[in-house]
Amino acid sequence: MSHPSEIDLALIAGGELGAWRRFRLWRHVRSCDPCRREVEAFRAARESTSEAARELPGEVHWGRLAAEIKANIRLGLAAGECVGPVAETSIQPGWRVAASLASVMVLVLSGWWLYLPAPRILTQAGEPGVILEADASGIGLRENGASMTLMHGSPGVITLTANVQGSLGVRYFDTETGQITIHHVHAQ
Amino acid sequence: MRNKVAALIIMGALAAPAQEPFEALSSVKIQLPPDSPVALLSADWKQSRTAPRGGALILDLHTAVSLRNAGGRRIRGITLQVLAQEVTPGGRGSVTVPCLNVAPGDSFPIRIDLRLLRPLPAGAGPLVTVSLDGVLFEDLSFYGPNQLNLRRALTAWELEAQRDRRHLGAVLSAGGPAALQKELLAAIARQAERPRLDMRVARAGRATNFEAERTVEFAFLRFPDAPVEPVAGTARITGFEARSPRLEVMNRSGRAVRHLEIGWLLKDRQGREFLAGSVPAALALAPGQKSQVMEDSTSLRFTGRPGLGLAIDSITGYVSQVEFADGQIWIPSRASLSDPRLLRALSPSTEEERLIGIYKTKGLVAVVGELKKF
Repeated sequence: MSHPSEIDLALIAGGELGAWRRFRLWRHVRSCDPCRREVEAFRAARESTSEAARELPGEVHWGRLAAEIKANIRLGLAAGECVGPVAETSIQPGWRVAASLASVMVLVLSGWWLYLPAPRILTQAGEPGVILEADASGIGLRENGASMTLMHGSPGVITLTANVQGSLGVRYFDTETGQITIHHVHAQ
Repeated sequence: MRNKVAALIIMGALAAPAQEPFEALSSVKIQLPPDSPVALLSADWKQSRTAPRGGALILDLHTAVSLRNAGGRRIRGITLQVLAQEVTPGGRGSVTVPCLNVAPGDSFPIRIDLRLLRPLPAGAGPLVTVSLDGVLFEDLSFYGPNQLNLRRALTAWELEAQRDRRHLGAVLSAGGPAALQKELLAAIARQAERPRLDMRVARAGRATNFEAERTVEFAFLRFPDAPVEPVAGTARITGFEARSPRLEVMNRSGRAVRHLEIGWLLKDRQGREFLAGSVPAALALAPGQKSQVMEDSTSLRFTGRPGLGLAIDSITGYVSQVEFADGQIWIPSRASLSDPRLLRALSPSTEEERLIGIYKTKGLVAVVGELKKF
């Protein structure tokens, strides 16, 4: 079989393929070192992006932030008008406003894009700051910017369980060992 | 979506990992007590890698630990505790393999695929400690510190395995391989029809939607042979969230009960029903006594694939597990679980899932062989 395309590998890493296609490609990836490394690299990049998004202050309201920046720009322009016309300007004020607004838009759109949450199970339990979460690749424990994830890498059916006392579990059939394996993460 | 994938590809290319050799001895420690009923044969770390990511270090640990049954009894289940004390001191992980049938002297593998992300610089000690948390034997006796409190779960899984092997064995005896195949195919079909969900469990007060909260009365599925009967119950529902379950239960057996689990079946506004999880409760319930089960501090939030909230309409509860004061455990019978609603909503037991997996990968003959091993 030829190697899957980079886009397919990225979709595998993101858990965004349909069940049959994922199963078919995953069989190749499991036995192909270069492809597996590629998927792991995509997965790591994806997680880094998510981590960066999570590190943004939770209380930031991007719409309000944009409005405040725009208001400050308008205030500055209005203040400039109060002190009278400037005799020599190399750039028209309209260009300044446009450039400022473009910068603001880039900032807002970048923030909005990074802030989109990835679908996942999230458990907040135990000590403040300890978060249990699950996504397509595994279940994990995150605390103070560090994390530990138990990965299952199963293309088949997985069973997720949540215990209200502070643990998450995933159950799957390991085709290599022929065993049922159950992963848990526990908040202390 | 396509733009995001493209962006991911570019970022992935830019952040191509500068992988470094993995030093297993300094990064991972496997601890087995001196009187452990299992002995470590080998641990292959060849697939493991470390890679710096900005100011952090990613450690991808892939190993198949090979263990040998060094005791005199067959092993039915095992739990290894995975602790990254320096990285995530507030929690721990575990890897459990139930439904084993390991004779004395035989060896068996346990796969551990672990990823650690930790800020640099790294400390001096091992990043990960893998230790034995418990071993369940064929006579349901247990060895180990049970720090993760999984002994009860291991025992219940083994009881379910015995129950389902008996059931499938009876099907095989009565109708031959064709009947067994029909039973397995029906279980696979049910598995395929079950909705794929994500869940979120959070402390109360962290609800993130704005719908008005309402109180919903529990409906109950009552099993004739259950030692504990749910009498009444309510939960509060807000859009995609259910929280603050309050249940009244009565011990109708002649034995004291010290622990029970109530399973939750939720129905969404499209009429689909699914198992939401369970509410465990430690209590001291004398014969004939009633007691309240409350869990005010948590909420369950449900998300369908791909990431859309799942609006909850109603809740049904059922007693899924009871532990008596003497440590014996009750689980529902196959007859109780044959209720059509439960059949549709519940996942198969661990053993049924194992046999389905064997059927899918090795075929019917292998399943028949497995049933004859026990």
